[in-house]
Amino acid sequence: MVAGSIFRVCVIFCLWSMTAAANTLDQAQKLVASYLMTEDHPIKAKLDACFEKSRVTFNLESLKKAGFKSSFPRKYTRLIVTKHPKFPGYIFKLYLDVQRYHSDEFEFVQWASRVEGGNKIREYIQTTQTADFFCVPEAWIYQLPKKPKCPEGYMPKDYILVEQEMNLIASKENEQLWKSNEIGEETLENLFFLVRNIGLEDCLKPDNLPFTDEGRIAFIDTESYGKKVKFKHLIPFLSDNNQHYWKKLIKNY
Amino acid sequence: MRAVFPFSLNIIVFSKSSRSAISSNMRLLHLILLLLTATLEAVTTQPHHTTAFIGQPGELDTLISYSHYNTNHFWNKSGNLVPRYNHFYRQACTLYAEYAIWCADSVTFDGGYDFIRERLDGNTFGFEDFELGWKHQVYSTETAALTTQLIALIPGGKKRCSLRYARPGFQAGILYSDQYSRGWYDLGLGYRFYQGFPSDQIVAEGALGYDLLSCLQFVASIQLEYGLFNGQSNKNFNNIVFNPNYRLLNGKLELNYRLMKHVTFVAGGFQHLWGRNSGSGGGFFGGSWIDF
Repeated sequence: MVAGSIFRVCVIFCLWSMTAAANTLDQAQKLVASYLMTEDHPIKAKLDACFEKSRVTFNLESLKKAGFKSSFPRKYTRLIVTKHPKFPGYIFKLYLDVQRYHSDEFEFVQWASRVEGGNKIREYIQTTQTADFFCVPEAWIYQLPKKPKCPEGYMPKDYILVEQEMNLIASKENEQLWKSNEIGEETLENLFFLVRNIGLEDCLKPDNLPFTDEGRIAFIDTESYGKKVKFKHLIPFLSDNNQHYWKKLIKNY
Repeated sequence: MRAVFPFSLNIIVFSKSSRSAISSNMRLLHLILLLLTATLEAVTTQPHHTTAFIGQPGELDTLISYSHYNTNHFWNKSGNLVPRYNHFYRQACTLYAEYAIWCADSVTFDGGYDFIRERLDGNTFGFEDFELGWKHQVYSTETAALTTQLIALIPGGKKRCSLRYARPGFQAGILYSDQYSRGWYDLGLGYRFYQGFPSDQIVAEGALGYDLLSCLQFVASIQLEYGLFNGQSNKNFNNIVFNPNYRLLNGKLELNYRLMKHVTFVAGGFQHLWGRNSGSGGGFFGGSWIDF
């Protein structure tokens, strides 16, 4: 009797896990389809020509050989962020075929989340008319041509992410700006509401919130949304006055 | 690319000497040596072989070891050796222990903590899956033994790429060991069953030991993990290193130096000789057997 109940619970749990996993993947695939770079995009034809010549995303050498700027995977996400002189105004985020699927997920799941998160931020900025404070790059998922194929035994990636390049200030300068009193209370207040409403879990650090040369804050890590925000992460990066004000804003969180 | 060497070692031959009553002081000394060795060696892949011999009742044999493995190539499904373009390094600290419950039965433990570095995928570290085993000697003579072995494969945590499958399973096998004038040999054959992935495996091993001196022994061994390719690859799509359907033949050479009655140092090298969906390359290891 007891064993039977345990068995039923286990079966239900297994079916639920499988369904949940399948749903997530299905959702991501549907999202990818809706965010694919369209044929009429200004660089689509040029990208096709570039990626049809060779398996550009195979390894670091093939990437370099295709003309992309040398780049090494980022520390935590192992993501490669690169540029190509023939595609000014765009940056490329990708994983190589010789790399593992990050966090045991197909790369398109991450691309879909990034585009979706960016769209949510963009909508919020428009609704709240805070475009003077914030901006978010446009992003498109580019499907790699079916040929040339990735050689056998590696982990083929089918999609890369193409993003609009933002004119960001240098990293050191950005940190200094965040630490200064040039950031007003209005900016912090708008930032607080935006991050809280979208649920941008892990974006509250200068590296993920760089200033553009126009003085706007750019949201460049849009992957994690709809989550509990780690508000306190921003505190050490602010000036004393701003720390005080930020603590006041987040006191209930 | 798994560099698992669940072979036997002649330690049992060394430790066949009757379990003399070890004074508490000696036990303490051994414990200190064990810890000291662990600290000094800090980190070699499991350099033990599974022998059919069982120690004296109450005897505990332990092996602490460090191994280093690296490769930048792998055998694909067709058996072609291809570059990986993503250099793989692993350092493993392992503990193997075998406790003789009665004269014909012993229990074994095998576990390790790994530090893995992949050039493009970063660092991974954590516990490997653990193995808990039971050996039962079914036949023995003065110099030979035939033993059955059952091993439970216990996940060491959640699945982590390049580190552990985190799938439960078990292995059933048979071991035969024999001594000859200046040495010994171990043979083993088993079937390893995993739940889902990796695929089931036929495991076979062979080790040959030769006494160069009374305190120095040379050991050559091979081990085969022959995957039956029935693993659910869709459940573990994400790895060159830990492909769910792999085959691997390892070769290993080592020297064992008996420092004192209950302490033996082990050092050697290993090389992956053949495979499918597994890493090539090799490495070295060092460790010490201490019996209580």
